[in-house]
Order: sequence, then C-alpha cells, then structure tokens
Amino acid sequence: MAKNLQVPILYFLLHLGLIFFMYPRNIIESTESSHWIPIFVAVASHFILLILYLKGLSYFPGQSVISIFTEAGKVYSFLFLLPLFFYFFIVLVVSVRAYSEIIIIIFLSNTPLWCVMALLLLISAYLASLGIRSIFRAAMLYALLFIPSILFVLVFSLQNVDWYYLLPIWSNKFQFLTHPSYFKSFLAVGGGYLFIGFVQPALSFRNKDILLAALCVAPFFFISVYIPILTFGQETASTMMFPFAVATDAVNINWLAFDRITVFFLLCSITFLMLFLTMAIFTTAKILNHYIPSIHFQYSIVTTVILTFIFCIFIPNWSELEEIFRWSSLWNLYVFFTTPLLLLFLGLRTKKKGEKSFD
Amino acid sequence: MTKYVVKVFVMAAVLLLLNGCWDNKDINHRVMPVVLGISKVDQDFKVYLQIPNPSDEKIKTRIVEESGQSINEIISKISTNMESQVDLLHIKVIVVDEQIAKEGFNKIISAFLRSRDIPSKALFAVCEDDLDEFFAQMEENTSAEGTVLLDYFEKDAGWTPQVALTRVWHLYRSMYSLTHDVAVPLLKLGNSLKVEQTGSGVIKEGKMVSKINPKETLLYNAFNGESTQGIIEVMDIATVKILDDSIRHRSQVIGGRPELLTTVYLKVTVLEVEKDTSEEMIKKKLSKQLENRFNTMFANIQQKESDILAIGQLFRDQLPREELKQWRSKYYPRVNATMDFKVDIQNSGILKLKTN
Amino acid sequence: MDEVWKNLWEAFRENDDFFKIEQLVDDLQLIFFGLHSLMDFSSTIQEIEQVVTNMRNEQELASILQSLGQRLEHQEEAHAEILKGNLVCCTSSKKYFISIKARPRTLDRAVEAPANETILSGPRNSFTEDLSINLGLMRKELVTKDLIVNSFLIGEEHKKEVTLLYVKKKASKKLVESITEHLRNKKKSNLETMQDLMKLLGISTWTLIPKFRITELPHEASQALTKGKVVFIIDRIPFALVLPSQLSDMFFSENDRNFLSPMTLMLRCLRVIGIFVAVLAPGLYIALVSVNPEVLRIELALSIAQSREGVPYPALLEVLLMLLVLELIIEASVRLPKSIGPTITMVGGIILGQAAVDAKLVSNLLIIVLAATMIANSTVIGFQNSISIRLFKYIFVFLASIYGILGIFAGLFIICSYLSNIRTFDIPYIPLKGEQGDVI
Repeated sequence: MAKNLQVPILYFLLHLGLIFFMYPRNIIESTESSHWIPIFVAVASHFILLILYLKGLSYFPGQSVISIFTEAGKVYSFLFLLPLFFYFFIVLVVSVRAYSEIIIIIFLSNTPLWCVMALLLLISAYLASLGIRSIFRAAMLYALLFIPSILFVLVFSLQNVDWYYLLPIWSNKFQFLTHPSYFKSFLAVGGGYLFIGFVQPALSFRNKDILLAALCVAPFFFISVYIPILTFGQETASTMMFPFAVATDAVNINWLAFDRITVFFLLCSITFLMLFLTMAIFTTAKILNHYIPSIHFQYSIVTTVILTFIFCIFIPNWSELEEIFRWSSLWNLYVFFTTPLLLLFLGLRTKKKGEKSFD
Repeated sequence: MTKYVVKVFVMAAVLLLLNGCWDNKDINHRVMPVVLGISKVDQDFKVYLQIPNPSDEKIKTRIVEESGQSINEIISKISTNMESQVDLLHIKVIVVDEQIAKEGFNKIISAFLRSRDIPSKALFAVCEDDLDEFFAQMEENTSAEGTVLLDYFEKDAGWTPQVALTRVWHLYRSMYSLTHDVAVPLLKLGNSLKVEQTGSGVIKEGKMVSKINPKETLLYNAFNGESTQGIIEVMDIATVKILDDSIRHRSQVIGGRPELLTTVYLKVTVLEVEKDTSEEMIKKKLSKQLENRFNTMFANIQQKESDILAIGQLFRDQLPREELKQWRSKYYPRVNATMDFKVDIQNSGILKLKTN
Repeated sequence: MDEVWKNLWEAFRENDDFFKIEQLVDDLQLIFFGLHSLMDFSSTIQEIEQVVTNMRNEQELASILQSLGQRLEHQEEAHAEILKGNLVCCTSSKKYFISIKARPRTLDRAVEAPANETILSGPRNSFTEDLSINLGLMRKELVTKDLIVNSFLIGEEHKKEVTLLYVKKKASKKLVESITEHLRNKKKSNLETMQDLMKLLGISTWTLIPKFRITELPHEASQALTKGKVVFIIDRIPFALVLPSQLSDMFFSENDRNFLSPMTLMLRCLRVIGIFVAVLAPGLYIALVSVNPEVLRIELALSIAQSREGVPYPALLEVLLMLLVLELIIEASVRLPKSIGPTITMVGGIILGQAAVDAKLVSNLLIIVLAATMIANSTVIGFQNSISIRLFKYIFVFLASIYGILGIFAGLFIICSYLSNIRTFDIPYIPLKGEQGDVI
C-alpha cells in the first residue's frame, strides 16, 4: 500500500484540538493524585479501541463504515449507524457550543456568542463541503503552519513548573473509574478515531502509520494534564475551568513582542478543533446523505450546519451544557466500544463466509 | 464549485453587515492602567489606578481613585466617569495596603483570576505606607515612561534577588495548596529613592502573618530557585559577591517528625577583605552568618505556620495525602531543618588572597 | 483559368495594401498576390527570379516554385497564406496556387531583456510577440528531441496559432491528452486573452489563484517543462503560459539556483516570510489595535495608542482607506507612461509619508504596516501571484475587525482550505509528497 501521511497527520491534529481544553479539567476532577494512572488507562484503551477498529476495517479493504454496515443488513445499520450519526451530531453541537463559550471567556469578551458559533460552523462547513481529499490536504497545511507554535508554547510553559508536584507517584485509589468526569474525558480519548472509518474509498492509509500517529498523540494527553498540575498543584488546578489555559497564561516571556502567548496557543488548538468540527460535519452529512440520498451532499452539509446552529442557540448556559455532556458521555462510551467490536465481529463473519465459499 | 465559493463569500459579507461593529474599542479609546492599588477605608475599598496617558509628545501618568464596596464595582464606576473604557488587561503591579494584607485578600485574588480581567502574571506587593500618600508621590515623581514601579520588578530592569517576585497566580496557588506559601514584597516610600523595599510579608492562606527582612528574602528566593547572583554579603572580615548558587535537599520523616537537610552550594568572589584573612576564614564566616540568618527566619515562619520555603513539597511522597492536608498545623511546626552552606571562593579578583 | 484567381482578387480587393502583379518569366505568365504591409515584395521577387531564370518549360517551373513554398489546393488556404504574409502565385495554366515564403517586413522587436521579471543572474532573453522566435528560444533552451511542439489553429473569424509544448516521458500523458482534446473540440472559439484560453481548457475563470503561471523567461518555461508541466505559447503574446501553476511558483524561481545554496535558501525564506507579512500585517494591525490589545506588551500598546491619538475613524476604516490609496497608487503607476510615472511616486510618497499622519487621518504605525505590506507583497514571484496576495489580505482585514486574532486564524483556515482544494486537470495546486498513491 502506498505511503500516505495525510490520514495519520489529520488523526494527530484532531486529537490535539480536543486535548487542551476540557480534557485536563475532567482528569483533574476525576482523581486527587497520581494523574498518570487515569491518563494511562485512557491512552491504553485508546490504543485497544484503535487497534480493534483498524483490525475490523482491514477485513473490508477500500470500504467505509457506512457501506460495511449497510451491507451487513438493516438491523446493523439501524443499531450502529444511527447511533453513530447521533453521536457525531451531539458531539458537534456540544463542542461548537462549548468552544465558542471558551473563546468568549478567554479572548473575545465583547463578541456575541452566536457570532462565534456561526464562524466556527461556517468555516468548518466550508472545508467539509470541499470534500474529503481537500480536508486531508488542508490538514497537512495546518500541521506545517501551527505545530511549531504549539511546540514553542509547550516548551515555554515548563517555565513555572515545580517538579515536586509530581509526587506522590503511586496511588492505589481507582475511584476515578466510576467518576462521571472521567467518562466525560473520553470525548478526547475516543472522539477522533471513529473518523478513520469514513476515509476509505477516497484515501488509503497504512495501519502502522495511524498507530504511529496515536503514539505521537499519547504524550500530549500527559502534557496537557501535567502542565497545570505541575504549575499549580492539584488542589489549585482543580478549582479552574480551563487549567491548561490558565497555566499558559502564567508564562512570562520578556523578549517577545507579545504579552499573552496563550492566545496564539489557544488559537492554534482552536484551528485543530475546527478540523475536528469539519470531520464531524462531514461524517454527519455523509450518514445523512446515506439515509436520504435524494438530496445533494452539499445540501446535507447545509442541513447539518443549520440544525447544529439551532441546537447550539437553544443551550442557554454552561451548566446546561455540562448536563448534556454528562448524559452524552454515556452515549459516547456506547459508540466508542460497540463500533469497533461490531466491526470486528462483522469482519470475522465475512471472512468465515469467504472461506466457506472457497471450500 | 464556483457557485459555492461565491455563496461562502456572500455569507461572509452578510455576517459582516449583520454584526456591524460591537463593543470593540480602539486602543486609543481605552485606558490601560499599569498599577492597581487597593486600600481599605472603614468597610469600603478604595482603588487607585496609575494610568500612563499617551499625549502628543510624551507619555504622562495620572492617578485615578474611586471608592466603593467591591473592586469590580469601583472599576466600572471609573470606566463610566472616564472618557475611555478602562482595560485592566495590562495591569502589571498590584499594591495593597497593610490592612487588607492582614485581613486577607483571598476574595480579591479569586475575583482577579475568575474574571480574567487582570492578568495572572501581575505582580503583587504590600505597601506599608498609606496608599494615598504613596500614589501621590508616584504621580509627582514618575518620569515620562510612567512605569517606575514596573521597572522596579522587571527582571531585565531594576529587580534584585532581595525582592520577592510574587505574581497573582502564586498567591492563588498558595490559597489552595497544602504545602506551599509565598512571600510578597513590602514597599515603602523612600527618601532619596522613590520606592524602598523593606523586606517581604509572609503570607499564610491569603493573610499576611509576619515579615522578613530583605536579607532573609534572599534566602527565600534561593530556596525557590530564583538566582541570587550579584548579591553582596558583608562580614566583619570581608565583603563577597555571590556568583552562583545551587541547592540540594534531603528529606525524610523519622517518627512522625520531618527531618530536612539542605545543602546550599555558593560560589562567591571576594570584593573587600581585611588584612590577614584567609580563604578558609571567609568560607567559615560566611556560612556561619547565613546559617544564623536562616535559623532566625525559619524559627519565625515556623511559628507562624507559613511554609514559604515550600518545604512541604519535599515531603509530598513521604506523607499520605490525608496527613498532608494537616501539613501546616501538624507537621510543619515540628520540622527539623538543618542548613549547610558550602561556600566556594571562585576567585578573588586580580589581587591574591592568603590561602591558609 | 481566370476563375481561379478572380475569387482571390475579389476577397482582398478592398484592401489598398493588396497587390496583384503579373510577370512574364520567359514565356510563362505568373501572377503574384500578397500584402505589401507584411512582406518586402521587391526583394522577394528578386530571389524568385534568381531561381527561376533559364527555366524552359512550365512543368519544371511549377515544381521549382513548389520547392520554394507549398502547393495550395483550396481558395481558403490561399487566403490564410496571404494573411500570414506569404506570397501566393498562380500560373495561367494550373488550377492551383503556390505559396512562397516571402521575405517578411520586420514588424517584431528583437529578442530583448525581460521587462517585468528582472533577473540578477541567469539567461536574460525574453519572449517576444513572434511565435516562431519564441519557439526557437525554447528549442535553444531545451536541446532534446523529447521536446514536443504541437500547433493548433484556434478561432472562427481570425485564426490564432497556439502551440503546446511538453517533454515526452516527463509530462503526464493524461494531462497532455486532455489538453489536446479540449483544444481540438473547441477550434471555433476565439482566443485573445488568458480567460479565453482558460475557457477553452474548461477551467473556471472565477478563481483567486492563477491557474497558469505566466513567464517572460524561456529559461523558466523550459525548466517547468522538464518538471513535467506543459507550456502554451500563443502567437502575439510575449510570454509563455505554464500549466499547471503551483504554490511553489510564488516563492521558488529557477534563477535562484544560480546562487549558492545557502543564498538560495535565504532568498526563498525571505519570500515565504514576505507572503506572510503581506497577507497578515494589515489584519494583525486591526486585531491588535481594536479587538485584542491585551496581547501587546504594554510599552508597545502605549506607543501605538499614542500614535493613534486623535485619529477619527475606527481601525477598520483607517486601514481600508489607506489600502485603497495604496492600491490606487499601484494601479496608477502601471497605467501611466514612463515619463509621468515618477510624479505618482512622489505624490504618493507625500500622501503616505507625511501628510496623512500630520493631518491626523491615520496613525503613523499604520503607514509603517502598510509600507511593509506593500514591500513584502512585491517579493512574490510573478505579478499575477502578487495580485492574488493583494486580494487575500482583505479577507484577513475583515475577519480581524470582527473576531480579532481569532479572525486571523479563521482566515488562515479558510485560505488553507481554499488552496488545498484547487486542482488543475486534477493536479493539485499544493503538491504533497504524502498524497502519492491515492485512489482517485
């Protein structure tokens, strides 16, 4: 198979966009000390899910999830494709709403909320409408443009670190496994990998490269949690909405013309988030298009965007949003875990069938 | 495809027309104070803003003051009364008076962090004088740049290692942290110099409980990893300048009593020396002097249960979390800290020094 | 026999520069037609006479004449040959015409140094209006038998010759085939401008990025050929059109390679930085001045505030006004004759340099920003590209005025998306190594 870097790079960027805002808070909320344990569990499950998913997909070379489930029959399509659709849609609504709020809290205090939501949705929809190949090549451009500045800020945010906050290293408390915040944090862990199933007829990729990308993402899960913890300590970091943003805000660089490097960092990750939104819009519209093939793909994008916008407008405040987060996190878990398992099951079944027909 | 591009552009244009220009005020219609002073008069707060005022030729500075019940209320009052919008995002230094410091400023600090109006990087200081006088003096004395107080703390300008550098987020951290307190610089109007530093205030959970002098602040900075380079130590037999320092800790809990052995490696250069003084004598004298100073300071802060040296950090892995929560009250007063200063004379300038 | 040339005469009779000369060579009567304006008749006829003297019979004569030119069977062909500036002759007995390559009048300028693309080091020839000279220049640059030259005559009323150049084995077969097909299918449409050619090739003219790279330099064109691109040379157009254009054309010029490698690298980096400055600077100014001043350091913020003291408009209007003046100056200096050109520079300098600031209409920082923008804009290779860049900065200006720095990132997002979507004959504008081997 040809060497194709776009899919792994997009995979990497999608996760970077998701990691830096909600994820640190959720993890810090979920446990008091030794945060690496919950992160490690999350990263490990990320890898397991990813490997299962890739394995499942590899039974159907050149097919997208949509066509796989459709071929499997109406029941499967109803049981799994429809949840997938709702999952993407809810994630879309929630993340547009949440991130607009974050943008307003952090750097646009005078701008109305709907206006920021409209911007996020419109430009993501624009990219989504250009088709999957454009999305992936755009991703490569963003990687070139923005990753250096992300790394720059990450290096400088080590400035205020007090390494003693790493201690104690071991803790044998595992209540985080049942903490609702920990489930919420799975949005960052499992939010990105499902997209790979929609790439396929258009683009090819090697499983090895995707795993490599996942390996590159893994340190960022740790960094995003540990930078605020090492700067403020768990007790203080747990009082913050966006610990990572506050931690980068405390960075003081004397020789730079700009005072607040946070803004640039946050905006870089917002750009990656817009890529995530793009993929979410794209997949939602694709599934929509699959169920209602009579409308043109671009109109199904428009429909998705308008629906998302309306739903976003109807979420009045942050606590309501938290509520939606809470119940949607269970839905997310269902989708994260069943989709790869089912795919694997279907794959094994077709393989058996294939062998039988050979006999 | 072309149509779509056109559509997107039309949408963008509509967006532009729809929103017009909301509250985005241009930079010349904002006032950007650099110093914020807060004092308490009876039950009310009084807020002082030192605002560099760009006018035609040079930048002048002016002081605006207003009182009210909460700080944000006062700021909005000032905003309404002034011709431009007050933009606190450029505040560099926050000065509070001693009364507030003693009563505690937890509420103020959390409000700053919550609203994100005031940068968490802003420096914090306590003024021993009356703020009215202090700011009046500032207005009178300030040169064109209007940033005297700022330069005083700026690392690449007037800062010296005897001044504690405490930012708003440090204070916020100390409010919640189990094992980490901070010291804030104490300021006073000087006679010949505009600002005089009189040491540091020791903070415990958002309240100032004690004071330490500038020399002790030096130790505080050394403990917290700030460089102490350039500081001059005077003894009766010699005067030396510190070139470099590094610090090692060894901590353990023995029978419920935390034991700490700290070794400080100092590199110094000799500036002035009495006749017939050997290297060994200087070394001994210097480490003795510093040790005494440390012991005095430590006894002071230990008594007030304020862990500004962040000794508790060193015991994080040796005490269970539940115990750590009682660090300040239960363990800290019992800490047995031993300081060992290892002095190394790097050079003696271009004159020889007796070796033994 | 009169019929044969009567029609020809009728077709051109109204033109005063058309001539018909009958001449007796020995006993044979020859009739010559042509246009005075395109050929030097007297020297042409002398040449012919030298060849033709001592010819005995008519048969021999006809074959000799044919060897000088070519035999034309149709009336229309004769028309075309006359319009090309050739001499058409017919004998009294034969039913066909013979066109003879005439000595042309010198209507073209000589091969000169390029006017729009200045080169520091590297070959200095540039294309001229004459197709055959241009082809010759290309042949000289690229000495290989793999260089293929395909000619097409396009047009309804007046024909235009278009040549398609490519290097066999290098250019993708699919590209060449689809281009030739487009050109064959639309022989009837007129071809005068770039837009016509784009329509001919089925490319939308509504794009913000030039699909062709225009170059005056045979060297650049030939290097593009060796990289697998194709080149169009159109008669009467003094540059080559390289298809497809790519992002790298904006900052990589082949002539860079005439410097040492570190210098090449430096020059290219400069151009990349130039593009970013040209696109981002005005937007960044607006974002920092009116939406996110907290990002600036206090010292900078104060001096900007000081420089804007007394400026009556919001930053957006200020920038748009000055940009308008600037764009007008550029347009004016293109339009004006060279002798008056410096006036514009001077007046523009006065407006931008001093007067606008003194009158408190704009801040002097803006002047610096805009001057930097303009200078940076000029580092881009190719005038067409620099116009695109000029356009792009307005996206940033508007977005920044609404969303501040977020707007700038949004603008980058939009432009990256746009660029990544551009394809010409399915060749992407931004070639990425990782994309090879895609299922299309």
